[in-house]
Amino acid sequence: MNAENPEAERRGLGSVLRGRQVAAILADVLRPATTQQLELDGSDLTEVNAYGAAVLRAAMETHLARNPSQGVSVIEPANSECWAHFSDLLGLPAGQRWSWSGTRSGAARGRNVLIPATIIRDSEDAQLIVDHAIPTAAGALGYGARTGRLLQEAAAVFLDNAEQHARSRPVRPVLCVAFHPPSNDLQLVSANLEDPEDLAVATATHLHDAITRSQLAHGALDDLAGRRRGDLDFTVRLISGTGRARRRSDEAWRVLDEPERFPGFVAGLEVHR
Amino acid sequence: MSVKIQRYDLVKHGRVLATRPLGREVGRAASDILADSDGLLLSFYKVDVASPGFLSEVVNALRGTLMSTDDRWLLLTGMNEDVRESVELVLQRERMALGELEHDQIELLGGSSQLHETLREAQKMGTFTAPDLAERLNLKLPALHQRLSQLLEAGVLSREDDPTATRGKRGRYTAPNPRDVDDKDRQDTGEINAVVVA
Repeated sequence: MNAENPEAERRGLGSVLRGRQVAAILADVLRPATTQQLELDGSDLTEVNAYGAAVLRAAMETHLARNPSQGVSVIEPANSECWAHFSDLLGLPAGQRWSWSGTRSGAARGRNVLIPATIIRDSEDAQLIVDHAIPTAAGALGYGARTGRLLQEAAAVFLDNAEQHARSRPVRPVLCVAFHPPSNDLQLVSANLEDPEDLAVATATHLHDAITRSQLAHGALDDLAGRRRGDLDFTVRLISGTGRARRRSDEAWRVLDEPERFPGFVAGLEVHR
Repeated sequence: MSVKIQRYDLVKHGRVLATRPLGREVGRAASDILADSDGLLLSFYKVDVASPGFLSEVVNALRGTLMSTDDRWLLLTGMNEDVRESVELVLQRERMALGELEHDQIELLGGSSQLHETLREAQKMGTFTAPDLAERLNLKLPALHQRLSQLLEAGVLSREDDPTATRGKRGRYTAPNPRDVDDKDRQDTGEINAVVVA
């Protein structure tokens, strides 16, 4: 409960919504609320990237799917720069069961977000994003044709993988594409959360096996991560359970376990600028 | 001789062709068309991405059809730099070659420099017999036959029995003339007949 709105239960998003911090806030967002309204407090946020936005959006949607009578409101960051970026990353809540709290007026649209965190409901959504939205946004924002095509391929591969392996999950995958100024990376992220009843803890061993299978079969993931694209420098990253894997251009896969368990699957592409 | 090459626009399956299951589906459809025609122009116009996995499935399905007969042509067209690189990677893995129609030229993708040279001479001659081409390339017949087999498998030559042969069987080969391949409607989607007159 909170003093301003006793009908709402407030949970903090912390100050940084990226990397390891995302797994930490996720459990809190997914915890069932006891009131009709869940308030996610982003007022302390100073930094958020495409990974944070995609996972937060997937968590919000999962929470709403599990709690059909509840709504979610998000309290805007006090930091103006972060508010502008966060607002672009989460997009417009029109027609959905979440909303901005209204403590701040709308932020000016920036040029760093190509695709806001978007739920991909079916293969038509996926094709629309892959075939049209990504190349249009990448072209309009001045990214080269090769970068645009790499983003398209990554989105197609990640969303196809999500479709194949996540049919039983209550919430469809979320895709987000945005430039992250602090790292100077263009990031494309697909996030899928698991149904808690289907929890199978993925580890580095599982990811290693999946990568090896893809390498042996010249599969789409191996093609995406391992094939050179002119002079583009990029990294493909996978996160599932305690397993973490990444491969940067011209390097081998690095796979390891981390203590934080991520309840789902995240696939990301980072184009280093 | 007038033959018809059927054009197959891959963009009807999307601008990003990234998965093996889609490649298998497209490979089956394209092979059926190739089997029912004199040749296939596989068009990548407006395709942004074709992954090696997708292409591998398509190429292997088409290779099966090409190897079952000596009288069908296969040409690729409309590839951007990423698609061309993916095609070259797949051809290297599969140890094969294919023909590309671009700017009124037919070039070989994959294959050795000797194979490229053989195709160039074959194109200059249009229709020819193996001894004629062997003389032109200053090559022994068995060595040339090996190259001709690879070019037939690549779909850039067709072969039929030479009716003028007086002893045994002799093959007559034809290389498509790029100027006669009508690809003027390449900006459209859908299947369009391209006509080759050889």
